[in-house]
Amino acid sequence: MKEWRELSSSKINDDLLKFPLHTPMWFWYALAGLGLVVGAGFLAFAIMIGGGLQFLGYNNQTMWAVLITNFVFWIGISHAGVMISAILRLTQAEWRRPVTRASEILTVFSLATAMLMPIIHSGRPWRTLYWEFPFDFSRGIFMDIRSALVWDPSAIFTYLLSSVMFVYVALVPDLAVARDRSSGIARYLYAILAMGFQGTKRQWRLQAIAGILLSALILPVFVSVHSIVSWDFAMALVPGWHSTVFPPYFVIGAVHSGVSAVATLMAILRWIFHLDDYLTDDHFDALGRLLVVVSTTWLYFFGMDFYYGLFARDEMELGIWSLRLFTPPYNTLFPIFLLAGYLIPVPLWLIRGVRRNVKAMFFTSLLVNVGMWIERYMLIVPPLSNKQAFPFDWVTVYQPQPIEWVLVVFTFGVVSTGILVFAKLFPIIPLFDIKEGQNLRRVIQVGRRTVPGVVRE
Amino acid sequence: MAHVEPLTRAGTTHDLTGRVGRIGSGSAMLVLGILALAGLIGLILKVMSGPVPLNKWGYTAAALAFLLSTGQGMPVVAFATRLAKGYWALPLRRAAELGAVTGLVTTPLFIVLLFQLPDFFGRPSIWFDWPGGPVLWDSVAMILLTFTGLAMLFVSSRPDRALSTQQASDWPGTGRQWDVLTAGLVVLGAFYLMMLVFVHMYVVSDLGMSLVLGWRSAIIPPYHAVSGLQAGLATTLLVCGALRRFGGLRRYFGLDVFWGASKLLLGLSLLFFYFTWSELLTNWYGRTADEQFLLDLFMFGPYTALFISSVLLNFALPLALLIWNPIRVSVRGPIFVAGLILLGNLIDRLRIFVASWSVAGPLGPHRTFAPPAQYPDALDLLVFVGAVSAVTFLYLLALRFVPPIAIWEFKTGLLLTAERPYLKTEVAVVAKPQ
Amino acid sequence: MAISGAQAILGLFQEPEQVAQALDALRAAGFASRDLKTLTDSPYPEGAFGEEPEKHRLFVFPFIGAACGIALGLLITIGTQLAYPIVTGGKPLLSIPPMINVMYEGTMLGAIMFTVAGIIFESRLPYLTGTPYDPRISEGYLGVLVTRASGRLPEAERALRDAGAVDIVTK
Repeated sequence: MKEWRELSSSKINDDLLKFPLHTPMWFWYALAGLGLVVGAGFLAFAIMIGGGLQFLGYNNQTMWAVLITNFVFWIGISHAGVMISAILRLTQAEWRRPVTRASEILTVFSLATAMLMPIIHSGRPWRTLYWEFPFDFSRGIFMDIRSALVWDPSAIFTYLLSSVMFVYVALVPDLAVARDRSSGIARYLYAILAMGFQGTKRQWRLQAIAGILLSALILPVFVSVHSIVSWDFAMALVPGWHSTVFPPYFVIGAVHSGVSAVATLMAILRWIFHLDDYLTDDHFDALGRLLVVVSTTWLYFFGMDFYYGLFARDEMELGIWSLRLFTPPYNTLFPIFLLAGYLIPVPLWLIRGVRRNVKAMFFTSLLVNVGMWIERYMLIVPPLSNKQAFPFDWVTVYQPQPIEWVLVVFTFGVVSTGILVFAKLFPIIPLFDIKEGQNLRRVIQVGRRTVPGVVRE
Repeated sequence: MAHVEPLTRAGTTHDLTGRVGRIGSGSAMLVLGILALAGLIGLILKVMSGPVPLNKWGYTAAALAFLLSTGQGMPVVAFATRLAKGYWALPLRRAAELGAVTGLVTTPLFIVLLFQLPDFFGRPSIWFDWPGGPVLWDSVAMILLTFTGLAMLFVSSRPDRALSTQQASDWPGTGRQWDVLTAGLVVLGAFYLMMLVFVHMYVVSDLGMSLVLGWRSAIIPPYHAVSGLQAGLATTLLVCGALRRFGGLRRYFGLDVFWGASKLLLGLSLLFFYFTWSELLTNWYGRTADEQFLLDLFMFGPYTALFISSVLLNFALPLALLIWNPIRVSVRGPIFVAGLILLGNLIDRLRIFVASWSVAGPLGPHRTFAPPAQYPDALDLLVFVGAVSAVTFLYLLALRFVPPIAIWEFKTGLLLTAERPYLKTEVAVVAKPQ
Repeated sequence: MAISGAQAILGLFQEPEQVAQALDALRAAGFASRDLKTLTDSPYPEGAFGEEPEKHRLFVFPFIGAACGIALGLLITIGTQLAYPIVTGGKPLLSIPPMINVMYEGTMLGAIMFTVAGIIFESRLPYLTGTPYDPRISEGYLGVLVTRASGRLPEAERALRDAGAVDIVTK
């Protein structure tokens, strides 16, 4: 890291606990605004519970569309947490320090939001209980684990629980600081959550090992989650979905959109909480470089899906690609997705000045997620809309209805509210990680140049 | 414990330049040369016997894919660790880059095999009847890959060659030269990786997938590339182990090198299983006639033993061994696992290519059952041993001209790392300039 | 600060070097290493204060958790298929590939949950014994805690103050 600033423990505490311990007025306005969005989503949900799926644009063939796109999209975003935290922890990348918690939190709320989507999509949410859980002892009817749709909850619950515990374990030292700095009921609550953490050598040692061990354990879960989501599609014999490459293709796409979402979130956090000392241009530079590698790998897997879709010259597969490339409205969405997902942002990220410009990183990373949402839509909808063998299966083009757009906006509202409330209650940047980074900084003098370095144990 | 003097910049230069031309005995090279020649004769005999029956080329194709995965996978280790600024990998980068010489053997072998292929017109392939495909474009890609690998080796070894030959005028080492050298290596490395990924796709598609009617699996090219990288890293580790043991380079190839590589090896072994599982599960769920045939042919039919051995050697055993700290954090543990992976990769390539060529033929109805397992004949063995010997011979020959460790890079590492006191303990400080 | 009757004593320091000196002095005075603890607001490299490496058994926990998880996964996958035996998609009643997927998740969940439990247990949390503590530690001060110091508190306080303690806290 080039940008160094010596920060005292008190200064770090002041800066990073300011928002959790003091409530500015804008927080209430933001919460109210987001509350309206979330409320609108729940209203839409309530309408669907009353009236069923008739309010959606589904037809005989296209029964999975915007809600499932939302599901895949938010599961994808949730991969940011592990990608940043676990991989960067394991590789001891110094720039991870201020980025980890926000991305882990993004994981938790994205996952929770994603889980809502298939439940809403089912039309009869209460029934999902006995479709997915082994509990119906009275009637002896149990879920069928041979269905990929049953693997989903097992993977998502595992990932959600693991992510929550991952966040909590790393939060304990900071809860102790919040306990020491607060008073009244807040102090009492932080004290309970901190479990009497004092910062002994043993506790820190365990904290360090926990970071590595949990990262190593959660990584295979992170890969499995989006793979299992991809198998929701690939296990079916639907042309365009039944592809062996879907698991890694989905996972790398998830990492692409997830890391982009972290960049977007970092920019927002830096602006609203004035965290220029913590989220420096170096961090955006590092994220930009990581994104170049991730996005190019994603493009490779996209190429494999495309190329080997055409490989056998199968009539159905050719029909789906023809739909995506040449038929409205998909032929408009396709170039948008490719431009937004890769062709515009990645060449820009090759320029150092762009990577170090927070505004540029904000807009380019946002653009990626516009592209990636469309990518998921294009993966899901055209294979279902392809012309079938029998004329009675021919349908009109699927058109998303207003209620579906409300539910799209709702997902963003839920995730934003979750992150905002978390940031209000807990430090969104890990205090002890930043302090450790300060402790471990050293320089090496090479001739007249002072090269920043770090202590490695 | 005997006191060991810390490595210094001057001492490193003196020691490593002195080793140029002293690794690899003349008699070993003579034996390797003779074996390589025998392999060449074997290949000529095979070619002269005509292209049919096609199944006689399966073992030769597997040998090519094995060498592509192992030898030509090695330079990627140098590039990737350079990109990630991993100092632990400084000593192994030259050993990895030297793997580029493999291209001198694989390129002609690939071209020979391309001429044995059946007619591709109307056949499911990545060329869609495009003029020149597959022979011309595959050959061009392989030649470019080999050229890029050798260029990387040439550029990276230039300062060291100037040191070894005492010809300072060859490399004055101006600031601009160093900037160009480091940037050039990153660019060449990126090109090499891209070319390698494409060549893996061409090899497994044209010498494998297109020959098996009904096989169109988008995961196979990345699977081939990832397992190739795994094998490339394993080969690099084995070479480093050999240089440490027999090349007198124990001081340079310390625990850090093997420990750092073992983590990557573990990750790549997990990826091997992930890709294999994705292929298996999708076909198992699909259960179409083609998919049942593919499962029979590649996994649970005549080559079951190869499939199980491949999964054991490339995934199960590396995982079972490398999760233990005493094995992972050691010198011998990762080398042993690398050996397992190398063997596993060979078995995996045999499984894919021997099975594919065993059903190769003109376009027609899709098969529904796999033919019996095919065993190698004397010529197959001769070509395989000859190809591997040729690569080893070229590797040792290259070591006669360039130092086994990139001196300039190693010395940069010495500049940017230091042992420093930290209160009552001593820590390593690592500096990473932008 | 009155220290009579106290069992433990905490010295607060501003510099890490002083902590290392205090620990040396306390050990020289005959205090056992296991009764000396450093309290800091962030991790320091192992051995930075001359302390003994901490022993723990955290690595056992994920293995126990994984074993429990795989057993539970097996139970659920076999149990549900046998309890409601219906053939779907021509797949065998006990289909191994989907079972592996669910068992894998169970294994990982078990491993992670036990690891978290292990982290909490091995960190000796919740810590309710009430040894002296000072919120200034969260502000960058460093603490040296001497436990089981009953009867030798003045000696401990002297060693802490001589090393540069800015304050002494007892309970």
